[in-house]
Order: sequence, then C-alpha cells, then structure tokens
Amino acid sequence: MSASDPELDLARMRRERGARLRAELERSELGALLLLGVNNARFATGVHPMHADAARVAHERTAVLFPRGGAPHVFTPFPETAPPELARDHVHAPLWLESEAGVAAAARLLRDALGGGLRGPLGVDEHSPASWFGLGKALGVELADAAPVLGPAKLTKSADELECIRRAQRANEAAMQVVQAALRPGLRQCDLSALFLEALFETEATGNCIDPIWQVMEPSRALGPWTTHGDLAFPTCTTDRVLREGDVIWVDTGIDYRGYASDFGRTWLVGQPPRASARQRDQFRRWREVVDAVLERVRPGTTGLELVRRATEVAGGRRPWPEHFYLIHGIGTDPAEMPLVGADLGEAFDESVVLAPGMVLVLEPAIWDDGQCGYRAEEIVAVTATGYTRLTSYSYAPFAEDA
Amino acid sequence: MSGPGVAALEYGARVDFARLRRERRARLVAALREARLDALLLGREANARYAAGARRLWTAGGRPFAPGCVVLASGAVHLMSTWDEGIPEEIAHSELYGTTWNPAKLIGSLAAIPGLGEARRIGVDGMSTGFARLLPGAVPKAEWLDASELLARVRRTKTADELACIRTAVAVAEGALAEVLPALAPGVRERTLAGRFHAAAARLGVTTPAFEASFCAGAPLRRIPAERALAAGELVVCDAGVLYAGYEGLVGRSWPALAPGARASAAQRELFARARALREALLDAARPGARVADLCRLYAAAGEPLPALPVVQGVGLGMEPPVAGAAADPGEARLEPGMALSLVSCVERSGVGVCLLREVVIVGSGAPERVTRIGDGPLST
Repeated sequence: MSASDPELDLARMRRERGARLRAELERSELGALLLLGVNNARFATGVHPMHADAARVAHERTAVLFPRGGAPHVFTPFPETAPPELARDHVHAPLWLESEAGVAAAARLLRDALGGGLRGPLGVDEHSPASWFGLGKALGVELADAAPVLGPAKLTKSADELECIRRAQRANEAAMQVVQAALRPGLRQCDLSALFLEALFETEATGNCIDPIWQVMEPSRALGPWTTHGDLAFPTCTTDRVLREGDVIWVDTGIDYRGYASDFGRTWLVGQPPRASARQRDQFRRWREVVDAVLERVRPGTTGLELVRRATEVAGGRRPWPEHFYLIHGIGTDPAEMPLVGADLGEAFDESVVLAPGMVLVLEPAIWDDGQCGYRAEEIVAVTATGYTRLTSYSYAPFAEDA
Repeated sequence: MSGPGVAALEYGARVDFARLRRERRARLVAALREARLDALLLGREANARYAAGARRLWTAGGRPFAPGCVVLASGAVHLMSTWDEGIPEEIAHSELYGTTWNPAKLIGSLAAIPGLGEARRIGVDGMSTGFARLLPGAVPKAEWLDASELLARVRRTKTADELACIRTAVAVAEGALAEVLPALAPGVRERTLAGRFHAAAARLGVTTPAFEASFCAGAPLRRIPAERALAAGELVVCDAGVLYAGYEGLVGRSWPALAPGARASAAQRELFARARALREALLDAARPGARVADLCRLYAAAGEPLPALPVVQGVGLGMEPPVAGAAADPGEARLEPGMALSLVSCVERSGVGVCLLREVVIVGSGAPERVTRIGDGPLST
C-alpha cells in the first residue's frame, strides 16, 4: 500500500455488495440463497477461506446462507476470516455435504439458522453429489439456481471493488516484473513459477489462483498441439520445459486481493537480451490498434456486438482471438465472469451486453500470423460514466518501450 | 521406482504412468459394470483425472458441475479438452470435445459421443439446475444416480504406481519445507514463508499446490498465513502440500522461531510431548479394520479437543475420503490395506502455541508404513 492510494473501505464494500445481492434476491422468486462456491461466499459476506485445490475445498467447505431478511449465516472451517460485523451466532462450524448423513445434519442446521420457513425455493449456486440428490428432500424445499440472482448483483462494481481489482492487478504486475527481469534462456517454466510465487507473497496479494502459465508458442498452428477447432491451443500447463533463445512465450497469471481476481497477460521473448523483430513489433502494433479501436467505443450504452465488429474490422475481417476465447471477459470475485463479449454464445448474446458504469472489462485480443507466431496481451479497464479508466499499467517490453 | 524425482530417466520412468492409467481405468470400468451403470459423467477434476490421466489447468477452488469427462461401460473415456497437450496417448482425438461458454454446444458435444445417447443408468459426481434441465437433450432416457460412493470405493486403495506418486509428492513437500525452515526466524513474515515454500516446490518441478501453505504462529490454530512477522520464540505451525501428477504430498510440523542460540521453551517441549504421544497413538491405531471414527476418539482419550482441521483424511488425487474430524463425519468407514492416509496430531495451549504433527502413512497388514520422513525439529531436542 502507498500513501497516494485511493481509499478502500472494506466494511462499506461488504455492506454495498450485500445490499445489491439482497435487492436481487427480493426481486426474485427465491426464498433464500445457499452459496457453496468459494467466490460466491466471498462476494456475499467477505469471508475468506483458504485458497486450495478443488478436492480440499469440497471437503473443507465454506457455505453462506443468505436469507431475504436479516444477516447472512456463514458455515466455515475458517471462522477467523468471517467479517467483524457478523454476529458470532451467525458464524457456524462447517457443513459436511459429502455424505447423505452429512446433508441430513446440514439440513437441520440450515433450518435452525433460517428460523421460520422459506417464502420460495432455495437458490443454490453449486452442489456436492449428496446435496444435489438429498438436500431438497431433507429440507423439504424446492431447490433452484442461484445464478440469476448472483449475476446481476455482481455485474457492476462499486468504487471499493474497483480499488480491490486495481490492487490485485498491481500486486500481480509487481510479481511479474520480478519474473520478467530474471527471464533468460536456460530457466525452466517451473523456475518462472517459483520466481513469481516467491515475489507474489511479498506483495499485498492474498493468494494465488491459477498455476502460472508460460506457454511457448510455436510459429504456426500446425506445429502446436492438435486442437478440436483447428485454432490455437492456449493456455497449456506449465512443466519443466527449458526455455531457449528466441522462444515467444504467452504468459498468463492471476492472483487474489481480498476476494478480487487479477488477470495478467503479456507476450514475452526469451533472449539475452530479448529483442523483438520488425515483424514482432508490427504484431504488437496491430494488437494495440485493436485494443485502441475497442477502447474508443467503451462507454455506457455500447453493446458487446459493436465491440466485436469493430475489433474484427480493425483486424482485417477475422476475429482477433482464438475461437475458444473471447474479445472481452469481466472480472471480479471470479477471474472470468460477465460480461463475456465475443465468446461462442452468439451475436444475439453479444448484442444483449450493454456497457454500464462499474463494469470491468478484460480485453484480450491476440494477433496471429501463422508461420510467424503472434502477440497477445491483456488490458483491464473499468467503464465510467463517460468512458473508461485503466486498471493496468505494465510495460509491453520488449515489443515497445512505452509503459 | 528409482527413488523420488520428477525427471524421466533414459532407462525408464520413475513411475510407470502408462500402467498407472491402465490400472486406474480398468478398476473404474469394472466398478461401473458391476454397478450396472452405462456411463459416468464426471465434473470433479480428481475423478476426471483418475479416469483419464490428463493434466488440465490447476485453479484454486471448486467449480460448479459441468460434465468434463465421460466414461462408458465399453471402457471408452471422452474428455473435455480443446487440445491434445496434457492428454494421454490412449485418448484419441475423436474422444476430445472442446471447452465452450455455451451450454447448448456442450450438450451437442455430449450427444455426439457414440453410445452415450442410449445410456439408461448414468452415475454422476455432481449436478446443477442448468445441466439437469439440458442433459436430457443429449441423453433422453437416462436415470441419474449418485456415483460418489462408487468413485470413493474405486479410489480408496492405491496401486503401486499411485503409491510411488504419493511418495514422490511427500518427498517434494518435505524438500520444499526443508528449504524454508532455515529462514524461520524472528522478524520474518508468515506470508514470506508461504511464498518460499511454493517457490521451492516449483523449483523441484511441482507448481500445483494442495493448498496455500500454512505458516501460522501462536494459538489458537490459524491456517491462513498473515502479514504479521514472527516474534522471537513463537511456535509456528508449518502445514503445506503439493500435487504431483495430481497426487497429494503433505507435510506438517511445528517449529519455533528461535533467535540464534535460543531453545524452545519448556512449555513448548511439554506441548510437543503431548502431540508426540497422540501421534504414536494414532499411528498405532492405523491398522486394517480400524474404524476411522475411532481414530478421532483418541483425541478424547488423550484429553485433547479435536482441532478445526480434519485429523484423518485419505491421500490420493487431492484430499479424499475417509475424512474425519470435528466437522467431518466418516460414517462407518474402516481402514484397509493399500489406503494412504494423513494423520494429524494437533494440540494447543493458550500462551504456548499449537503443536501440529502430520504423518502420511500407507495402511498395511499390521502397523502402517510411514511415508513421512521429516524430523520433529528443535522441539524434540
């Protein structure tokens, strides 16, 4: 943290998020929400469970019961991370949802916490097998999907949420700076992960969210991995692959700051020193053109489809991103969330995405010259009342000198 | 196996991964047929990994159910992956279906899997409201059954190659901790130690963690390392783990943050003696036929409350059943030869600290084989 940091009021952030979620819940048919997804539990209450592998998260589950009226209830193995404003009788031991008996016991605890009956179905975001097959019956209520309530509540961010994303990005960039400075032939991909993780834990970051990606891009699609769609493979997993002079690597990392995700994407070159060819600089310039053309149109009211069309036009008629990806994704308590723009959801979907203040957009086009490799990077902006503000500030070296 | 290590050797692999995958798949398909299931639809990554042996991107936390792997009674395995990197050679390109943001497209991919459309009895390891509505579009006549018991049973006892992976994972976890421990001194931030653990594991070739490494000083037990710096003499719980080829390697010890020349306090050594006695009792009880719930009762017998973390867990492709502790109910689960377990002895005293001793063992015909080798450190001298 530095003295010039914009203010961050976490209590206000939790209060405002909770109010948005409650307003959406009240607009819905649902009687209450049961949130079993870690990111959703974080969003609803600010509880911050340990970052862990999925199998461990299932067995050491944090759950949030979010009723229409009154404060939420948190069931967690990490009670020390429950927000201070939550009364202690709203912080409970974890629910055990990995067996039928556990679900029956959980139903009793949930019923006690709810007090009276539910005025509608219980909206659940994700299930263990036992909760899917047994929770509705054990509770005597209908189960429904929580997503229609969560989605709109998460779509636009408050000033405090934007500040969390900015700090997440800053911590991520600081750790990547250390890696890029050390990058040289002979390091293995896993050595870069080591440098990144060691540096990350010296920042204000509150966790790492993804196995860092340092994919060496082959010059052509045909030389890369086979794909179902014939387009590029990305991202593939890190191994002990030894990096060599001239390797083009697409890097992608993501961390957590108080429940908010970052997303760092750049193209780096391996070399002593790394030097971009004229072609590579041109690829960067074309990437910049796509990003600038899209950003020119980022303001409230613009549709996702307009952005897709503009990016495609500037790139010469072909969508400048791999087919399984998108031009833009949102980011918040989930590393990729709405709004998705240019994904495989169709033009009607892209047209239904209308930019609004507080939306966060991660732009990640990629320029590809088959046979000559390509350039990919990610740029994060928040939509404002009149345009956008940048949340990223990392350099594009060695493709450009500017920051 | 030629000792723990992660590099291939010119005379063969340290773990026979082809055999590992073949044996896992054979077990799974046999259980599927025995249960008269036509197919499995798997959403949990550990189950998909057991069936397919693929390395897909690790991310923290769970995800809502999506059918990422399909196992048919014929023995065929279909996997959600847009590319073939990280995919074992026995899975053909025609058995891969791409990732998508569009659930309707995913349903289309499933509908195209030969033999799945006619399936009547399908086991699943999860479900969502959305997929429950959409899946009949691909599998119109299916009855959906909870396959979690079947999957747990198949995965419960380990093949020789799985045990080799677990031993390697434990070696990496212990090696990474050994690299961190010399830095464990007054003034060092807890989060610095966590970062160094993950970095050390990555330098050993393993970049996927079991969980964010826990380096937490003082009592009561905390598990998420904080910004705080260690104070002189504080007892630090060091509990961490990695995933090697998906298999979990865990290590857990308590270590005092000592200034040069200082010794652990008498009260800390007394606490360690209690933890050690409880560890011996747990190890002695980890024999075939033992009820998992009875292992937890050893805490009460020792006059210690159960801690807030599971004290018994299966070790396999991540944490797995049986899981037992204050918040986890193992039911009637019993130990059997070939299971890999983590046993935790964890005792705490206000003003003294928390002493945690974690042991990874393999259940044998008598006393368990101890996989854990790391010493007990300054508390024991």
